[in-house]
Amino acid sequence: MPIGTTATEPSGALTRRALLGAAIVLPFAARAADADDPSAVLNAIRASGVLRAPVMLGEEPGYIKDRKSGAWGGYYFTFLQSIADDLGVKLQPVETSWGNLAADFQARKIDVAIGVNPNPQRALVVDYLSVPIFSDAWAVLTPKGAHEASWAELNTPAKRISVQTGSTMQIVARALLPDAQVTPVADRPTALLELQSGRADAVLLSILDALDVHAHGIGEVSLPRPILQNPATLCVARQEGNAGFINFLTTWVEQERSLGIAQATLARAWKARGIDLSILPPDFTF
Amino acid sequence: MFDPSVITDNAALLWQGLLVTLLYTVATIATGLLIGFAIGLAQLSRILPIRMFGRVYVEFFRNIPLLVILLWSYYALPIFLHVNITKAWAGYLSLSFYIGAFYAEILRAGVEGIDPGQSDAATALGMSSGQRMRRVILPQAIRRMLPPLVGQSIIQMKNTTLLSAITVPDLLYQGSYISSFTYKPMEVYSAVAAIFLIILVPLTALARRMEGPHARIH
Repeated sequence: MPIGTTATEPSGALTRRALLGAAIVLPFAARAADADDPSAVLNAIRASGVLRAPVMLGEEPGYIKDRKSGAWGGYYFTFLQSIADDLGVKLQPVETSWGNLAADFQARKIDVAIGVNPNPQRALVVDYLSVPIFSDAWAVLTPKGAHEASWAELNTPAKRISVQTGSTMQIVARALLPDAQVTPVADRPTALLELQSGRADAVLLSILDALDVHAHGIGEVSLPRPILQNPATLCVARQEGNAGFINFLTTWVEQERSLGIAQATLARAWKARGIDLSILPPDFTF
Repeated sequence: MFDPSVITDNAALLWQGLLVTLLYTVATIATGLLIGFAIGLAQLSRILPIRMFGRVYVEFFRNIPLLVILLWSYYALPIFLHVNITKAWAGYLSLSFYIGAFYAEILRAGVEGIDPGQSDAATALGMSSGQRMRRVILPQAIRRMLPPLVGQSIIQMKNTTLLSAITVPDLLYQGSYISSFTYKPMEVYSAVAAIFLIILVPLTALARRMEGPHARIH
């Protein structure tokens, strides 16, 4: 933007003032231009050639680490690979845990996370996409032979419920099971240990995770009524210039859903893992 | 029902984890000994700023939980200082600095535990400060220090299990990994415990044996 002057001012004064003005304004203008550029984050990712995304143990079938090669797979990884392909960059898995995810974003170790549940408190520091890639349901895993028909049935002082610390399960338990004894544990294997050692009557899990555990011959899966939807969405670091990246991801999600690509990816994952979805009502859609 | 096939089928992963655990144990003990020696001597210095530095170092690393140091070095350094170190370096440095503080205290206590009369006698014989330390104090102090040094090193091997918190693939990490796909954590964690026992029980016995000569000094 030109520096405002009058035609009557001496040219030397104009030059000096213009230079001084430019020296003061331009650096800020340049930063403002970067900050205002909605493609800044998108361009930075493409320029780097890599999309960094979190992967974690104990989250099969969403994230699966190959026993021999150590290579990552699973349906979340497939989704992330598709995003990286559309961006024309390489997917770089960054191994972490749900508990450390916020620190990963803050330390700029990752660009995007998938499979997260929208949470207003976390939305103060990260940006969630407004649309989920899919929605499953909250279920409970109980010892063999047990069955929980409703959340109300579980909400008694005698019931001991195991949930993962810092997870959405903890929020669900707090909201629906205030009278039950809720025990937060570090991860899914520990929650299963609680169940197998008789210290928990139920483990709160997403239906896909619960059915995957059940496919290994552990416990029974119940889908308590009313059925609670569990939206799995994406989130990115809250920073200047990420609007274009969020828009790109939202478009990607819309395409995955509207063309049935997401559902097909999930169906392949269930088939590969031998997961039986017959427990879900016939009209249930992901 | 205990299913041993979970362990035999995944022995390769446990073996890889054990190698990482041993590597970190040896590397961080070696580095920690160097740090501990330097900081220990700093604590014994007659120069106040050096002595204070040694004291502050020891109190800093001894009073912050190792897990916090690990997470801080891996996550906070990039945020506050824009130093983006890998998890391998974060693990190595955190464990080394941490145990260095404990080794420094063992060295300080070992040297200060020697009767001051011996130092006075060495001075009367015309020995310099360095000579007193090398020829009189340290040879006795080291014998006293060995049992606690071995004890602390045993603890260090167990400390390496915290590396799994930043996903360094140590023995516990591999145990968690195997648990995550077999859904049989009891078998896996029992195996991890057994491996630690097999390695550490002989070392503990060694530390006890070392206490013999130490006792005879008195």
